[in-house]
Amino acid sequence: MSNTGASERNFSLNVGLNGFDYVIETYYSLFKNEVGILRASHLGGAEDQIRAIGSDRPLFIRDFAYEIDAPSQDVTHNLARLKAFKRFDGLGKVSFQYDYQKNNRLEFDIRRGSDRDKASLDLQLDTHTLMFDLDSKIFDLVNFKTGIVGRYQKNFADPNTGVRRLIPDYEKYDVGVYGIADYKFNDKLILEAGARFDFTYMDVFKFYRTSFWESRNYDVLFPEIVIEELDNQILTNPQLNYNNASATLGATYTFNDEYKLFFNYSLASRAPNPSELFSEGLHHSASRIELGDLRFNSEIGNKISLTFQKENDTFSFSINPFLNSIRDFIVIEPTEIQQTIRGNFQVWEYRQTNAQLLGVDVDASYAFAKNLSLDHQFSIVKGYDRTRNEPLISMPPVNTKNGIVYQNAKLKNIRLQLQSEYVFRQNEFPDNNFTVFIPETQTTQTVDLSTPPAAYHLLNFNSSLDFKVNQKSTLTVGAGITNLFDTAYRNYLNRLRYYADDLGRNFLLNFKFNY
Amino acid sequence: MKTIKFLSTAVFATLLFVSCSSDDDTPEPVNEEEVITTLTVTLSPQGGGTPITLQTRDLDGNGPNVPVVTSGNLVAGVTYNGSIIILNETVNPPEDITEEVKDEDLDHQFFYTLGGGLNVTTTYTSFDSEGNPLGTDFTLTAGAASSGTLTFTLRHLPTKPNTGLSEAGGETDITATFNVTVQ
Repeated sequence: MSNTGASERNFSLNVGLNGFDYVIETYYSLFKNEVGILRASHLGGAEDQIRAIGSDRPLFIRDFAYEIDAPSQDVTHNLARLKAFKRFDGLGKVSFQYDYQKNNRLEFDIRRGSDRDKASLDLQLDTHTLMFDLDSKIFDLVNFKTGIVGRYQKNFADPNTGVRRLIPDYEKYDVGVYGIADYKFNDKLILEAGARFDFTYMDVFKFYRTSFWESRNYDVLFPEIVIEELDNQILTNPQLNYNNASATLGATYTFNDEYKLFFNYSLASRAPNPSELFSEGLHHSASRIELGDLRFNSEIGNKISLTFQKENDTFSFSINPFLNSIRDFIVIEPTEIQQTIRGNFQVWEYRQTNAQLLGVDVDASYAFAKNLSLDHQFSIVKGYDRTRNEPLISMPPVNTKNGIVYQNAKLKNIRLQLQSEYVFRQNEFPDNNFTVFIPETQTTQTVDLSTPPAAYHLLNFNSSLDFKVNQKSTLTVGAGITNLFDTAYRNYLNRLRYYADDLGRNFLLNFKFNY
Repeated sequence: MKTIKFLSTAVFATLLFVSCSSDDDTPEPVNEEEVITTLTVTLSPQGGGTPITLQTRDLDGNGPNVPVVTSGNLVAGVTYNGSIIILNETVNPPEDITEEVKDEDLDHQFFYTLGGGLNVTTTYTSFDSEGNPLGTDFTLTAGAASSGTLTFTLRHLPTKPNTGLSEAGGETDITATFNVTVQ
């Protein structure tokens, strides 16, 4: 697999001050990640796609190398946080948190001429978040929590890349207010109710290709947002407002020490994000054209879920069925093929539809002998597009994880885990295939983007040991192997699955120092 | 009472925070430099005569408009000197991308593909610094009367040398198919 290396550097620092009835904490973290983009996924037109999808070997294989070349991604996250809380008599706990996050994402593409070493994507995202929370006990039986969140986000896409912006320059403001209360009805029953209101305002500067602007009929729908018409682009200033209300109602019934039943109904709404609204053009690393839609509304979901839980020292399980009905659910799917001079490209378009998700999650663990336990996890979700009466695209297939763990606190807290992961083939999917005329062979061929990959089974191993360095410090050494048998598999949800198998056997080693 | 007072402070703080945004200037446009909008193949009959032009032009690049293609017909038995020019016409004046391709000759190659029974033969006449085909220039000999397609494909970072398009690899920078008749 050429160019699939990754280099990651992290650093974090935590300083706190603990008082009698207050705590002040500061936190800083730096995360730097350089990832190669699979060379074989970097293609020209649909003919290349057919060659790639039809081939069982990646089209581009070079000798093994540690260096990361173009195409690659270079991501830096900086996070600074100030957090404080104080208890007040008769009022409760007041917390405050301020976050500043600075993310920089660079993508390097295979380019020509003087642009050769220049990034083709350079985004800088600054986010400030301010939160106040109040946690109080109004009466003996009622807990009340309320808060307000304010967020300001600014995205800057550097025009010096010489490539049209994938995500436009924008400023986004969010204000959210929420309140949630729980009431202890009796020893067995706790009722909970909450509500939240969010206001989002986006101020965007976006260059549209004139041909796209007109083909979407935006020139008729949104003439008022045009600022300037250039040769083949139009500068617009969309200013969008979204009001989102959410609510939740829940009940917890405790049968006895071991058994509990939770019921929850929630109404949730979410404003569309900038890529869903503004994507327009070739997404190089995916080698497909992605199109957003300026006309999108907020998604509104109604979810009912039930959890039945048993918990004790030897045997615990939980069963969690849920039903989620979402109006204006946003999906991205292949819609057509577009002719350009570089060849024919897949077009992936965002679309809103009414969706219904139905699923069950099951977890269980069983400590069958001293220091030995089994754990089990199973999840199934079925998604349907109720507008088109077909299955939803990109739904995770049924999967189950089963593991056995040996842990002994007396023996340097040794932990050995063997885990089996079985992923079924997704058997329900919409047909988004299309045909392409290949001039080289004078034939029409089907590009199969729909058929999910086969089921697969992976075995993973994990272990760790704790070493006491001194009274206060512990060093944890962990070693693991993922995909023990080097099974060749492709994951339905991985966008690069069309081009190559997923990760083979990997050895992981990590050290953690607590002081 | 205390609660209410506290909440109003919080709201006030947030509003202040929201209002302190700077007034922005409008962002500058990006005129893509690497876009290829136009491929023009000029076929000049050896020994003189009117050249034939095959052209494909897509002024909105990856936008929704399809390329405009113009083609021409060949005369049986005639050999043509062919040359390929590629341009980016989204910028003013148009940029000649052929120069970049020639500068990076080891990383590029044009391929000529025949389809549908077109009776012509092609020969490379321009080569890279290692003597492998580059293909910005070529000769084309029209055989017996026939019709079909002639496709020009520019691959970036192909395996060189290669035996043809199917094993060359790399990625397609341009592909243009013309319907051609030999009369």
